[in-house]
Amino acid sequence: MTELIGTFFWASAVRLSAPMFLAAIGETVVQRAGMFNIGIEGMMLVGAFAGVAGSTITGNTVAGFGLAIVVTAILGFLYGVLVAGFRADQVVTGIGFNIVVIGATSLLRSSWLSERIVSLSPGILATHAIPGLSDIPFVGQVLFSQSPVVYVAYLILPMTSFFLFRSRPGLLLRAVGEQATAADSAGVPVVWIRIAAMTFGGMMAGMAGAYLSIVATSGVFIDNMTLGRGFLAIAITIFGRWKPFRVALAALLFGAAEALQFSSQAVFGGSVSPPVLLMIPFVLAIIAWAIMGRGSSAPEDLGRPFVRSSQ
Amino acid sequence: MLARARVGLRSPVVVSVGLGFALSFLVGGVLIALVGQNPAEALRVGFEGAVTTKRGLGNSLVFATPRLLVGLGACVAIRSGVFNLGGEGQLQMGAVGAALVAVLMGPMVAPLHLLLALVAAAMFGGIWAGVAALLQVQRGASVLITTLLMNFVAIFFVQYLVQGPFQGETAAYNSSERIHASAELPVILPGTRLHLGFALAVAAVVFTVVLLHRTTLGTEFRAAGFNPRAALFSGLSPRRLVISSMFISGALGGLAGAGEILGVQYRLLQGFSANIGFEGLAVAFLAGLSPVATLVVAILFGALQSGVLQLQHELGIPVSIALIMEGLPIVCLAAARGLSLLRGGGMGSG
Repeated sequence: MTELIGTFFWASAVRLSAPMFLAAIGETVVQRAGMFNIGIEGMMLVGAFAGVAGSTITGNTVAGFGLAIVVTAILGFLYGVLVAGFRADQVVTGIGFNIVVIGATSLLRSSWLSERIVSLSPGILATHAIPGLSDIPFVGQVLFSQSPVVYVAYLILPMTSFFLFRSRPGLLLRAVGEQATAADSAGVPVVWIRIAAMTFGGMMAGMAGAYLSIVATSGVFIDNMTLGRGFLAIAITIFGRWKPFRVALAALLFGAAEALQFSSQAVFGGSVSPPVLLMIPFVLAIIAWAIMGRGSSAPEDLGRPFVRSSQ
Repeated sequence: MLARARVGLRSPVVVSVGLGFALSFLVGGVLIALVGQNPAEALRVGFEGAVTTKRGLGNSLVFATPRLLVGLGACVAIRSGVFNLGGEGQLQMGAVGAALVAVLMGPMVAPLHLLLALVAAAMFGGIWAGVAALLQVQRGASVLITTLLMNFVAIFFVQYLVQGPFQGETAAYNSSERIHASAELPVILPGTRLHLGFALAVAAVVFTVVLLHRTTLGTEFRAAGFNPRAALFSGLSPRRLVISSMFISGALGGLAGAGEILGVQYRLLQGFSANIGFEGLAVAFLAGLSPVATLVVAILFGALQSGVLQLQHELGIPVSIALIMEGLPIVCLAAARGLSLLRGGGMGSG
């Protein structure tokens, strides 16, 4: 069990929690604006594909990452237009969207990408220890010997928190999620704010996906490779009570659950079947969800389409 | 935008489904052209693979079977106001139940073997969904999220079984021992792969219609789904309704898994359901949660699957095109329904 307090375990936990955190922080903003993004699973998968495709075309993983973010920002915008602008049912749209994405990414992989893929190395996105900070015992190894994407995530966390709770646009966004009708009467552009939130959610899911394919699996895209991580991000958002720092802690917990696969021998005292290890984060999420339930701190208008009553 | 909204409201579901599929065939044609094939030729080949040959028609109905059963399960739950998105997991667990009985119980239960396997599948699927229902009524954890997450628990559980305790000794791939012949769903149309499961699925359509429209329980389901508060005030127990609708929904999903194991694969194996559960959900959504329309859309989806499979065999076109063609009309339909909300119509999800 000493493995569980070792730097290796926690460094792996941070590394594996990064995609969960990125997707969940986007989902936090989306849910704060009053929507569920069931399509997050598909957006992550698009990010994973676009990241590898962009890296393959340009030979540069940073450009691949950029492409993933641009593509998922556009998708997030369009998705926002559908669910906030057209009031398309959020669950139905998400399910349909995810099916289209699994098909489209698989089609592009088999008919186009698989012929040109060369071995990709993460390049700049590989682990880079931060000089100085990485020398701090334990913390330095765990937090500051990571991919630069993880460092970007460290910046996104306080920025999102500041945006949501200390800025005027953030206040308006929360108002839209709590009381869309009241916000509308006060002249807040409800629909546009929701579309903007969904665009951000898409970008973050795209980053998460690109991290999975470029950094975590070193440039390989496998069909449906997100394997429910997008849905886990929704659970993490709720588990984190829609508060960015709590969401980050929840993501770290799930990263730790995933990191068990590297230490399972030492922790469980024998080899554990890989599917069982893959199952653990989902079981954990269900238990967490059952313990917390949907408390009163949920945005009040979460999941409700906004319809202006007097048209 | 308002003008378009009016069109959306006035046109019935049939028209929007039709338009959705027209769009998806258009997109499919463009994609086929992009991968370097002739769309007209592909349409001919696909039609042959799905409709005009006896074998192809059989395949279409085989593909339709699990999608129909999962779709019916979704109809029961969602019309009761319970968002069961766990069709995939319930199908996987149903497959486990069916396979356990079909492999482990010997021919001594022969006359009842198939029936026992089906009952086990329904129980496994129903109980799996029931867990999510219990978490909602006891702990306030919405089934919408729990069922999504439980899908993956079930998928990994099947992988665990066929890589570990339930792996067959002679099995080449990650799969169980072959099921006993006495538990197989027999072929009902000679010269095709069409098995008894399809007939059972059609019977399930009748069951679902009768349940929802001719029984007290079904009326209560629909009342709870239509207006939960009013149902509560009129003395209905939401706990009982959530649990019973989820159990029935999950049992139907479990039967879908049984059909795949007992009628198609003849063993439990890793990855036997490539997303069937989610497609079944999509079928129900596209059908506007009407059981009879679900039958029609499931057959359409089945035909699409077997048509595209034929395209892969003959022209080397990837089967993933089918998923794009299935998902697109759903997104379009959701948007069309949403727009009609402008004038107070449409199917709100709550």
